[in-house]
Amino acid sequence: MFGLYGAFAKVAFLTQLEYRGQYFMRMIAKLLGWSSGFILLVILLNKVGPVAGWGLYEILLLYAFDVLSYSIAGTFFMGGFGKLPRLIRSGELDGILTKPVNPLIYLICTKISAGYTSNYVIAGAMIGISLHKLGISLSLYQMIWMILDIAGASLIQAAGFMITTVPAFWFLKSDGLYRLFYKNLTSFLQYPLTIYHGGIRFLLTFLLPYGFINFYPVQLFINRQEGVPSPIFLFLTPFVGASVFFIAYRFWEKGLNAYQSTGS
Amino acid sequence: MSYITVDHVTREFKSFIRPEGFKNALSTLINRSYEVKKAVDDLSFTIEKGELVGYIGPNGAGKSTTIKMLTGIITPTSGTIKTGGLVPWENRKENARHIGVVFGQRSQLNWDLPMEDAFELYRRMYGTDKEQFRKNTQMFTELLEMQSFLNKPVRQLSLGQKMRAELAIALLHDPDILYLDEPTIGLDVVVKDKIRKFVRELNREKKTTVILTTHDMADIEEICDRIIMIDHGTLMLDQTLASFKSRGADQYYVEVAFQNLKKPLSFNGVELIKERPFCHTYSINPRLVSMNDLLSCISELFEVTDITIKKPEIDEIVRKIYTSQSGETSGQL
Repeated sequence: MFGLYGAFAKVAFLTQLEYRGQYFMRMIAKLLGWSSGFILLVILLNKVGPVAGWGLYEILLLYAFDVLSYSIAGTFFMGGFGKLPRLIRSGELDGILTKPVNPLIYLICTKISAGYTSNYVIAGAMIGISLHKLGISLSLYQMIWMILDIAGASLIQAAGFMITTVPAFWFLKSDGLYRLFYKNLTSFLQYPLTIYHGGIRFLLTFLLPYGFINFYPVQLFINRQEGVPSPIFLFLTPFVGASVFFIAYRFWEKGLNAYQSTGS
Repeated sequence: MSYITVDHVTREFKSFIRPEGFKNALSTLINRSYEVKKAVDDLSFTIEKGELVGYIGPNGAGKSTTIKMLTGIITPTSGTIKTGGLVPWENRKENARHIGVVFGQRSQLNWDLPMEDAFELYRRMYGTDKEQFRKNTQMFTELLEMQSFLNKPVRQLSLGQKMRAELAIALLHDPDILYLDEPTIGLDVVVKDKIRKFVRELNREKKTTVILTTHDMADIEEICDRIIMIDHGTLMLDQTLASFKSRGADQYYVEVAFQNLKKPLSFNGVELIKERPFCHTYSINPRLVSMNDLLSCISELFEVTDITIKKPEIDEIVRKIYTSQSGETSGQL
């Protein structure tokens, strides 16, 4: 079964590479987009000095966690969920429902996007440089935690995509939700959450747990414990990721059922 | 127990009423009124294995909604459907293994893949046996004449080639039921003909049950043995093609081309329906006028250059039923 979905994913991935011009253009666009954010950050921090006690490379680490998990989630989920309203309206979703496949896995595999691969390199490099400059060398145990954290953070990002786009099953359009509850709120993650008002921290921890994408897990590697109600928060990312993704999956199923029973 | 049973099925859609005027449109942001429309209303019919059924009706009659329920894409508001012993939307994946679906208006193919590769992916998706797959590919390639474009990416194919490819790919796993939703839309006569012959051939070889929706009555004529007609979501008519065509037996047409005439035909049972210079078309009621009388009158009154006798086409019978139906409903409103 995995082989079949893998084959679909491979085809989707490789056909994107066939359009070389498009692939490289997108790659350059993404590189420029992210690195301009990164350069701005560097300039800003060089001018004003540490933010809430966090130095340049610590903030860069936050940034890298965000970019990396966003890119992993984007690779699998952006293609399908970013265009969900269009898939519904064009009837492509109907086509999927007449096939003997799991609609979500099929959607993910056939809409996998190759355009985020360059981000892996940038984010990976940023993590490496930051750790090096901060004089931190990771133990094996910490490396495993980092991988688990990245996986959990990616699941949180994916759940964010899904939960804000799945309402298209009811409303046929959901761009507004996506912008408000995903794009806008995740932009808080560029800086340590301690610089914001407690209300925002509460929101990003308990209601929309985007804080677990970078702010909490990163502190484990740089020996900080700030703005955390309990030290255990530093270890929660994989669990938060798994639970919110599960919720998102159930929400997707609910949406699909609603589509089948109320229709468009 | 029939192979496909549709039992008192109703499907409602909620659509919100769009008011006129900017002010009213703004108020819908807060307060919206909905109306419930029945796309399918208490519909029942049964289909046996191996039947070729034409499912027709005017635009918006509920054809596509029925097909969506039969294929398990959507659920009915009330009523039950069973296809091959399964409830399609409850056993969606299982049901999908037994059906092939072709939507004429939208493509299911990956645009960047050549047909051959797409075939192989679909073989894996349905877990089709390799030997059976090889046989089917060979048979379909031959019947649909696809050799010349099997290894071209789909985006380079013409509409006709694409539709043939869609048909082949929907059938590689030997489905028991084939749903064709307007398969010949926008195609040229040659491709239409190929597709029609292919569907008949497939039904003969594999006993595939075919349900076809179309607006092209020639599709029905060439492919189907039975017609189910719906309008406003309710069953209008369900009969064999032969008995459907006999509905038109109460009249025929004579087209007379002439160089000179004394006077047009005019007696009971004959009606002039189209008048062009040097060519008249009459509608004849065979119960009132014998063919002999008619021909002798024509030869007496006209200096005939050509004469054509036509039976009403299936198109025309359908048009009559559609228009009489919409006349009735507008009378009710």
